[in-house]
Amino acid sequence: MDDRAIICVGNSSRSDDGVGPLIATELDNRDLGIPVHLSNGEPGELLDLWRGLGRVVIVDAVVTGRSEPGTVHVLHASSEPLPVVSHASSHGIGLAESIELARSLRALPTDLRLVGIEAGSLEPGTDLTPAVRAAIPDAVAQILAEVDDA
Amino acid sequence: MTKRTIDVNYLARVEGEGSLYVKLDGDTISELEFGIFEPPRYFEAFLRGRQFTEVPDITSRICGICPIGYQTSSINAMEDVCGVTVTPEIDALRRLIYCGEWIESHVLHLFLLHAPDFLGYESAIHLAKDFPDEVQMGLRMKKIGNTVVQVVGGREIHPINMKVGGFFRAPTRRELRALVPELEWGLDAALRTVNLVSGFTFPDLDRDYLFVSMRHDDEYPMARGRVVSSAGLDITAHEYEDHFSESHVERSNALHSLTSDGLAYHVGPMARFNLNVDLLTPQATAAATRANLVPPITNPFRSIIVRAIEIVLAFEEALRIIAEYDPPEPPALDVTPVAGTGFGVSEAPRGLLFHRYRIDGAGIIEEARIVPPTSQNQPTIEADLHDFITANLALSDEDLTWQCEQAIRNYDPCISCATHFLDLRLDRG
Repeated sequence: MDDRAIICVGNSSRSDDGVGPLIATELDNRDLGIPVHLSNGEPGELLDLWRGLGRVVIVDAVVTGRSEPGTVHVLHASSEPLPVVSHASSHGIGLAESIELARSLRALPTDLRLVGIEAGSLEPGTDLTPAVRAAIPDAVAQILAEVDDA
Repeated sequence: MTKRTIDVNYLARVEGEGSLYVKLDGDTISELEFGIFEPPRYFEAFLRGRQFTEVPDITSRICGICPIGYQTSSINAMEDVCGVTVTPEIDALRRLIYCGEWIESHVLHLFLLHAPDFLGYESAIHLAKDFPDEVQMGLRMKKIGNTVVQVVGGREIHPINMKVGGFFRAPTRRELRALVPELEWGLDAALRTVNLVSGFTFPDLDRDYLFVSMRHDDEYPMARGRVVSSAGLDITAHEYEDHFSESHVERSNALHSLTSDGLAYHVGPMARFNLNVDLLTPQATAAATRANLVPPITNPFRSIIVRAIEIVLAFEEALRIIAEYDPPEPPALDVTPVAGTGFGVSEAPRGLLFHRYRIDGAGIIEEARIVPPTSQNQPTIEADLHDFITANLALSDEDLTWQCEQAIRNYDPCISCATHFLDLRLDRG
């Protein structure tokens, strides 16, 4: 049985944070044969989505502040802790906290990879910035490479 | 004379961004500022010129944690001005979705934000290593709350199914019955949660609060009722602004609320509990008795037990409403706009949430006013901190800072909501 999944996280009302949901739609249209989930990024939901799975690729907008908007980052979250900045979240608990909470609970999938797209704007609004929109094909290619990586 | 400061630039584990600055000259607090610096959100201005029917969808964006509170208070205000009284079936469905919001919001705060303070952990991530079963239990309970909101509201965050007059679509009996097994598990988990938090150690602090909450003849307050206080006030939402007023304070983007006599007051779970203990559900009553929770509760650190009791109540009520559920037909009443001013209140998880709108005869909003619970509690939070610090000057800076943050989290402050409204700095010189 295929034990892989892709989980896209984001808020379509917060500009570039909508890149996750857009990529989920793009992947759905490709009929990959593995589950593509859209998630709010909360720990309870993530734990349920990846319970018992091996390779999980999670997709979200990220802010490192060290790259140009649209840069595609890959983090091997099952082997390296994510930096948690708790005050940055407007929803109580963010994706990085969720992943670290799952790590504390020993409830991570065997191989969790985060494909993060550097955001340019997270202001209220439904449009992506041009740089992030232009990065979607690269991000999708990277997601597929991570899913298939032997 | 020793001078010291408590200075927290970003308060963690609260919604939004705020700070606390305390300056001490010996044993005297010379400055104490609980500041909120998330930029003002101008929602009241966004609302002007919009249709009265749009208000639940716009105001639900104010907060990702308590959208149902915003939707309910705004809908209540619009139905008030238009002279509409909804059916008991619609009222029941509103109470059900509100139960979902109380569960998800209270559980998030209790397990992931507040419990680490009591158990001596920096965060839920650290807590989870030593208390994995409890944290897993909390995550599952929260998810049940999310699911209730999703099934009744159409989706979890910024739900879309509530409207002025009722609901776009009533869930079927089958859809609601599917929630029952998890709700039953959740009720049992909530009772275990009461036992867990009752065993915590509570710092000493007892204050003579003026409590303000809603009250309804038939039920513990959530989506409907009057506004009452521990001083004997009993008014409708129409009279709210005659008794409470907001003023701008320079250090904060939020407005501070006081009574018309200039007194700080306390809204939220402790106020609701103290003013409505006779209306608790059976298992919540029994759990409160076992936890030795006898009103009036005046130690704000014990609010975590009250929150646990309200989680029990929300699970019980959700189960009762589903058992008695009769889908509203039609799911919404027609509402024709009437020029005038409407007033609405409801009990968001953090406390009383007041809305007022003036609309014209075509239903266009001319003026909007929103008073969220956190701005009502802000003067009380500062007063708590003042008394707590004065009584605990012997603590090290590190311990005092920790317990000040814990004292702020007693109120589960939602700073995102209050910016229309935290960083902790303790300055001992």
